[in-house]
Amino acid sequence: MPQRWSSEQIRLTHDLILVFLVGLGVRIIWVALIPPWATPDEPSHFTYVTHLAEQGEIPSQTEGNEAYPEMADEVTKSWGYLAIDQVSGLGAKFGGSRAYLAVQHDYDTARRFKAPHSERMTRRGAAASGYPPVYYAYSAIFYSVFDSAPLLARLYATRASSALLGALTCCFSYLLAWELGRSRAWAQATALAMALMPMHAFITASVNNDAAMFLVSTALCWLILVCLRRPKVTFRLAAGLGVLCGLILVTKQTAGSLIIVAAGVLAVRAFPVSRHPWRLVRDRIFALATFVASLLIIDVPWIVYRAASAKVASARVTSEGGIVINVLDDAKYTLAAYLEHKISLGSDYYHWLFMRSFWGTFGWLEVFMPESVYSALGWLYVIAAVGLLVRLLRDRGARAGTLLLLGLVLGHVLVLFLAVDYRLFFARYGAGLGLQGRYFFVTLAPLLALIVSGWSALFRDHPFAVRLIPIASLMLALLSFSTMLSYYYGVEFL
Amino acid sequence: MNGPSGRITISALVAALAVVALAFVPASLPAGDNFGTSGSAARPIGDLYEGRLAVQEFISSGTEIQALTIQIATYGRHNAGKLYITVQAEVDGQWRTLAKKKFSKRKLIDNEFKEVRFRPALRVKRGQRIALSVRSDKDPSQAITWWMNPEHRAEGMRLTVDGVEQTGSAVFSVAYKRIAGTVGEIRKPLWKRMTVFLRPTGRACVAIAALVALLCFVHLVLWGAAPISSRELP
Repeated sequence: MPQRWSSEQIRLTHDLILVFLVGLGVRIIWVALIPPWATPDEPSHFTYVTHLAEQGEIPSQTEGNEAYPEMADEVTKSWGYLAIDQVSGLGAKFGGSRAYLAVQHDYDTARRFKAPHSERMTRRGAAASGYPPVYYAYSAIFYSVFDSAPLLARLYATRASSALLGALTCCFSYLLAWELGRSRAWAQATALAMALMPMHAFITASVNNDAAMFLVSTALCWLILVCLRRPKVTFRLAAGLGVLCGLILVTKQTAGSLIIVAAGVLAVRAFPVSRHPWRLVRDRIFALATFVASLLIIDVPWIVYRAASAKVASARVTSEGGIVINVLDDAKYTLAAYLEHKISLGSDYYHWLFMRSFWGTFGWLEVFMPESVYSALGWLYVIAAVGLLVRLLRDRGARAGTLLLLGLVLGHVLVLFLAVDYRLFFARYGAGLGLQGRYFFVTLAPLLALIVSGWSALFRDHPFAVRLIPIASLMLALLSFSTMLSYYYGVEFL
Repeated sequence: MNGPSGRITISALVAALAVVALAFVPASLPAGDNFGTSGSAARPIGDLYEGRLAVQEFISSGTEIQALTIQIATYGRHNAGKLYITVQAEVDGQWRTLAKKKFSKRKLIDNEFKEVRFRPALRVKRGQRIALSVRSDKDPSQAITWWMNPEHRAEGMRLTVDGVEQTGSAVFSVAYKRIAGTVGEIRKPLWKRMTVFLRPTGRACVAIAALVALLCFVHLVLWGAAPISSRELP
């Protein structure tokens, strides 16, 4: 006899369905609004998907099949049909300027354009070739359903696959906020803030493996919090953590720092509390073993494949998803030089990184919302920080969870700067990776939950205060739609 | 009205009201391709004084020209006399004058982008050849000039000075009258423009997704969530 659901479980499920539909609907709007190829690296990511779907193989890490072009002829031909190169960062024409997509243009040909399969072949996965295949294999399913359709239909279908992942991410952000505050109002506010957040919606509505990484990392953040908060940590929870950590390594390793946190939290949590010391130690060992085994089940096939396909004799694979050995080699620039360089960039750089690039920089990072929006969002950080301080001082029960989420957010920022920007790039080449706001979205759900918590604390957890957050998020979303419509389509409101 | 179906009904009504409210928002969209040549690599076209004529031809991509802008230079002087701007359209091989404007050269600012607005907008046809003529009176000591970009070449564009074709284009821009009204009034061309890359099925999917998202959002915001009591905490 199936266990009867409690009224609270029913309400949470109801909320999750609604959050999913809002997140998906918003992303479908973005899928349609973003002109084809007008998001960072979309042609490359789409090439990877095409390579998997059309040629049935994971793209090569090295030269690939030189009989085919780097990017499919079908894709490069489409740029002329679409006239997008006259507007977007793909290539504005010199000497002439078009303020927006041409009004006088044969878009019907663009909508119907499709090339034979021979023109869809690619050498490998373009600039995305180094990434693990999980996201692309998932998206290839959507591509394949529309195999005989025009190119744009396949592109939009692939974008829709990302949108689904983005919508699911909103559901996990709901669960994370619920776990933090045990309040449906908080959870709804956090989830709707993510559902409507312009930059997150923009990225997860395009062909980009970030969509998969955001989903997995948000789910992992939630499970880490669950692991911390629950009195009893089960084998199922340990296995779940292991699976998610494994998935991070086979989607995009940018979220790798969460694996260390997950392992650490699991290691220190008491398993079924036992008076017998040996049983306590044994259960912790079993929990960690379950975690590691689950991670390896997901990752070993990919590690073996990469080791077998790596041509370099030293077995050193430096691109993401591979085996990395001797990463501490060849550091030519010191940490002090890096810090000096970062300080010299000035406040404008950090404003761009944490405000413009984080909340909304669209297209090929050339489309901005009005500057006053970013200034207002800056005040949001300040207000939330003050509120969090109030929360930490007043609400003892919320301290552990709040501090954990704060640690996740700040820890990820430090990892991106020190481990990625400095160690992998600046230390070797004297120039950083070129950090962008969306790289911090791994811990976006914890950040939004903290903002909601801080804001609510300032109003003594009055329910009306939290309801303002979805309204403000909707305004921000509408403003971002208006920005896109103005820049690309010449449509103006008010 | 407090039951689930009552709440859904109220949410649907509020969502419908939001859509109706959106219909009253003023909006505009382009009806033609505003076009402009950039000033990079620009140089003067030459002195324009009595008896000299510069003509820039282009192909119209809209149906109502609202404004034309040219970049002129005064050589740092306050020149006497007038600047004459004429707009003509080619009809059956003949040029027909659509508008004539004159400006005092004394009031011109060196290197300014001089905008000429037309009220009402000049009615032209898409694909029609248009000629923008600039001339000036008085002797060479009171000449002005028009900036040109020798590296800019576009289909259908032709620049002549005293009938002699020049390489490149003049620095100018064309602004077509926009389709304006409330969202409700211009909903068809607005929707078509916003979904220009989509086929009918795609447009339907977007519309349905947007409406469902709006309904779910309104429902979540309106009916919110009661805080869970401590007795229900695990």
